[in-house]
Amino acid sequence: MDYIINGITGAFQLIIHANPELLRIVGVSLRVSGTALFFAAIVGVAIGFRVGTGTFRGKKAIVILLNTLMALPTVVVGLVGYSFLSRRGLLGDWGLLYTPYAMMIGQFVLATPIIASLTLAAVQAMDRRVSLTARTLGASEPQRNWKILAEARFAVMAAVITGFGRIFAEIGVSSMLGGNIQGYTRNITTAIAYETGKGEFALGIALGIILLVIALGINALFQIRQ
Amino acid sequence: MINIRDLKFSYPGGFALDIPEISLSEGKIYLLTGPNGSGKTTLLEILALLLPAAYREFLYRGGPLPDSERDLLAIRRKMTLMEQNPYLFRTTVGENLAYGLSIRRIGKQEIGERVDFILKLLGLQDFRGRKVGELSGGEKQKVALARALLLRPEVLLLDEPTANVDRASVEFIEEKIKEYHRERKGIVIWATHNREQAYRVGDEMLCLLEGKLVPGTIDNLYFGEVRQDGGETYFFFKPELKASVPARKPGPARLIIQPEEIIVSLSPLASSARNSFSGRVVRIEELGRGVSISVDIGVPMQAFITRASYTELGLKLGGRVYLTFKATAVSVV
Repeated sequence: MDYIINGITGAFQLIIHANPELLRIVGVSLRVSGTALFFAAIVGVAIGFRVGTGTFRGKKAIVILLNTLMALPTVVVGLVGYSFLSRRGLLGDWGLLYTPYAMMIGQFVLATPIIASLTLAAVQAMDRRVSLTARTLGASEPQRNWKILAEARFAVMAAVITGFGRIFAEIGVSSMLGGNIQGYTRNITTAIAYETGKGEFALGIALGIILLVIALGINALFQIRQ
Repeated sequence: MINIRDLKFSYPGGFALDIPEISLSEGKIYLLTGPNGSGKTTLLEILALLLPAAYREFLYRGGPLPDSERDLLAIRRKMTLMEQNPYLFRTTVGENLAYGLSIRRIGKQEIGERVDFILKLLGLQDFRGRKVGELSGGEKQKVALARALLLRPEVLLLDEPTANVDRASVEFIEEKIKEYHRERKGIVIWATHNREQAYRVGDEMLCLLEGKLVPGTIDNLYFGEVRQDGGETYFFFKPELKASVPARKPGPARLIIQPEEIIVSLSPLASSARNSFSGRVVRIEELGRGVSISVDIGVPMQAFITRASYTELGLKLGGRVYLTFKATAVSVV
């Protein structure tokens, strides 16, 4: 048990003294997941809104596809991403493998279906009168769409936060496409796995605490806003 | 101001609206009545340009509706529909009121002034910062009305605006709409189930029945059969009760008589009118511009007379009266 107690003590020391390696790892996580989430939110909300409000052929198929992609294992995305980005892959010339950009792409692929699917559900559950009311008050098509999104804002925010939760805590994509390069692509989850493997629990626990605190902070902020 | 010819609309489920002609003039309050499912809400949504319907001609202020979405939006912005169960956006009362103006790119200062004015007009001064979730049903209805009136539409469409509100709020809402109309003119089209309300506030009555406009009101609507009898055409309310009607193909039919077309007297009238029935007064109601008398002639029949006639006749509950109307005063559909 001593190693765990020592690990926890060490973890708090690392956090209190703002250990540079710890900060670098957290920085990579925030930058990669933040960027991936930004683009996934734009694309996911747009897809979810369009599918949710539109009536067209193949809509059901898209809904099924999005719901299926929600459960996509991260290692599968990592594997597919790897096959595209490795030197022998279709996009091998881009030289993206083992860079933060590769991690961003992988996390974008992971988060987008979740955000799209949850936005779609939110928009479909929206009161039909929102659209009618906006129109009868003189809203144009874009103004009406914006109003529907505004009315569904909490559900859409929840969708984005769920997407964030999915990518911030994932390891499959980060390790397979990022490669866990120290100071470059090593993020919270790959570092925890790596450090634990080495028997260095302090840094792993510290990162675990930070991961939880960030997730808790974001969810608490959302609840307060709601 | 609005003239439509050959208006047709149908839902996939089968209900259809079919109106050969409808003309609505500026400065009038039209009361749209009709049973549930007769198409009142559908007609309001079509008039508000929210539902696409087929028509041969749709003139707004003498001009046809434009094809371009932008020009159509400009006309749509001159109309507002207040729904029966209005939706308030999940924000504050003030932001709900400001919405229609802000999407018209009106300046913040003017929006603020107009919102303050309408809140004061409807006695909602302290409501500006209130969240809509905190409002009662009557308050929500008032806020929705304020939101519609604030836009000062040329055409104000109201779908049962006083449904689900208490008596005091009904009178208040009616008064504010009438006040607005006196000042703004324009057209008000007001769907209601409430016949008292129809008489109280309406200038003209539009009655819908199974998607068709029929003359009169639904007060005197009878289901029966048209038959020929001795060379004349009669509508049989029931086997022993009939009224002379204009010539028509025999068969099941509906008869509508406008209450205003019925003459009430204490003794039989010597006149050219083909229909005269006697019965006892079963109900007397003062309704805005006059008095509604309900008489049991074998079926209940309503007549609408002026207050002066009512006083002059000295009508009492249970008293015997005669109801007289011409065969041409009825509609058989």
